[in-house]
Amino acid sequence: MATSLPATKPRFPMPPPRPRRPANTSVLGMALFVFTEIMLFAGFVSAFVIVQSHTPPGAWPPPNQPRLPLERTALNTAALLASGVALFIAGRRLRAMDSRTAAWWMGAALALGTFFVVAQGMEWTALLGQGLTLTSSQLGSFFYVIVGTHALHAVAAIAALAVAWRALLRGRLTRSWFGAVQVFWFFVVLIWPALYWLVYR
Amino acid sequence: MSARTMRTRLAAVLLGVVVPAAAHACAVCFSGSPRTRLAFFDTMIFLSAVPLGIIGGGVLWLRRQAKRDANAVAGALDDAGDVFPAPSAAPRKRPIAPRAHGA
Repeated sequence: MATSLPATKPRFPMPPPRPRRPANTSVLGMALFVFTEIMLFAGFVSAFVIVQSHTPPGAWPPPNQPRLPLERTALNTAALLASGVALFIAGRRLRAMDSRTAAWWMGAALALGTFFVVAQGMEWTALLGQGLTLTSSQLGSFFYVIVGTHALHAVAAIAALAVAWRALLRGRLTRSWFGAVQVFWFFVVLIWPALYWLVYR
Repeated sequence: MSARTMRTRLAAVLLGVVVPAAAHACAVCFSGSPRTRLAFFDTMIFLSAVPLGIIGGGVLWLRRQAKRDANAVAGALDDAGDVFPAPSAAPRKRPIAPRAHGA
């Protein structure tokens, strides 16, 4: 014999669910990742400063090694900083729901970031040809490890930005996704001037 | 651990604190030039200050976010409003003037 159970009220009424903010978790997760990366670069910088201090005054960079192209890299640095500004403007336009202008600025940031990586690659090729390798001197070791790690991050940031740009063009870009990409891109952009000043001068 | 062992270990620690050069607790700190010692000192401060600064900044950011969440309207935070519109769907800044037919 089938019996129907009477509907009962829950004994412990649940509070209404709190509003969800996906932007917080994504941006926070990316910020935590960036924190570990900053400490990685801080370790590199500290090791570089210690090794540099061991050399006699005036003996750095090593005399038998090529000079790093300070002026040419200044152009790359300007391009990377400009890409950071472009992404900042894109973020402001997105908050104003002006996706058309935001897409243009995001494209500009992507192009400038790609220019930076390609120009750095060309610079590396020239330096390798002049005899600066990973094992040629302490300068070479530190140069390729520090600048190479940054370039790796720049490539990852370009890939993330390209995916976000594509998502924006298709109307699928979420606030959280863009926030996380923006944090990573700003990390890549803002850490570079410090590395440039430390390694190239 | 006996009282004697305890005293011996305590004396060793005190000796290391009072006379660090004799203990050679840190070989690099006592064998380098003044320039190297300064570099160690600077990087020690740098490596201590960077995480503290970042964690402090993170705490401030989380506090600001929590305040914003508390003031937010529940309906404004749904997933549907979280996606940016596609450029093709976004309204143009300046409306295009309609073409005159039959011109």
